[in-house]
Amino acid sequence: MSYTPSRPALGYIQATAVVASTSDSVVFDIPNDMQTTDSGGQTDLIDNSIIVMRLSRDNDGTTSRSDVYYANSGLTDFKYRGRMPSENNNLFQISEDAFDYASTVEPTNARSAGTGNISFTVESHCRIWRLNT
Amino acid sequence: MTYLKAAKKGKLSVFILNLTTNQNVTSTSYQDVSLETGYDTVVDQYSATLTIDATNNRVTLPAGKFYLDARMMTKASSTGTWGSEYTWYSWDGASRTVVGYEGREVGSIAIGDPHKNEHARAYIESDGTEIIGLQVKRTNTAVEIEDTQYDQNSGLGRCMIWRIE
Repeated sequence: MSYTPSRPALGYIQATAVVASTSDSVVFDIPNDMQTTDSGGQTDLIDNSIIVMRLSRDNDGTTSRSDVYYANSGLTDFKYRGRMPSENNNLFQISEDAFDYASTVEPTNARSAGTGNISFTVESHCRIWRLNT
Repeated sequence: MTYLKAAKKGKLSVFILNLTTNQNVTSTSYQDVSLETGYDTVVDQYSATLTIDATNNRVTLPAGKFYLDARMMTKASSTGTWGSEYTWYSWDGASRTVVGYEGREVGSIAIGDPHKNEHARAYIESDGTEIIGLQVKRTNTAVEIEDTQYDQNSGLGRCMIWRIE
């Protein structure tokens, strides 16, 4: 017997861990029935969705590197940015989600500070609200 | 065995308010967050319209049920002890009533009341006349919200109104 399982209105997708200098290298490619394919760092969602993206890093020892990112490429409005602080004292010490409404997901670096690589973890995730559009 | 083949999907209208840039927050008492006219429409499945009163810094909600979620970009000129706290409020024409949970942004040094953190969130119902606003105060030294000197490194505030029904 085969059947197509239902998909709930809410979704949660995760990215493969990667060590890289910016969030451009993070890819949401762990199999999940909320998404289809990924190509060139972009993941296609099954449906148009509200996307709340939070990237995660481990205690990588790169104390000075921070990353500000968007949930998709092509975005320019600062209100949609997410934030990954460094371990150094700085003016912005709190992580923040990136936000978008789209049918794709593509972590995109908007701004970095400091030097070195960040160890992005598999806990980088998007919460997804699938909309009937 | 029964199951639902059809995908379940939600319905939302999501808007983001336009905040005035470079607002000084110098008091430990709440002050209005200054709003600009217009707003971002992220998605609008209810064909909803917000009415922005940029003079009095308030928003009239259309009829419906709403989830409110605000994150305030806050900056001080040093990495010292500072923070901002902010809430949504409803306005009855004469006074403010705080709605929902208080949000807070903290600088690089911890401050008291660690149970407070993150976004200001609230739920409110409107019959088409409900008026809401945002208010903010400093916790320690004076701060600035929606700062445009460091916004590249942080992003700007995201004060969202979600119509959920």
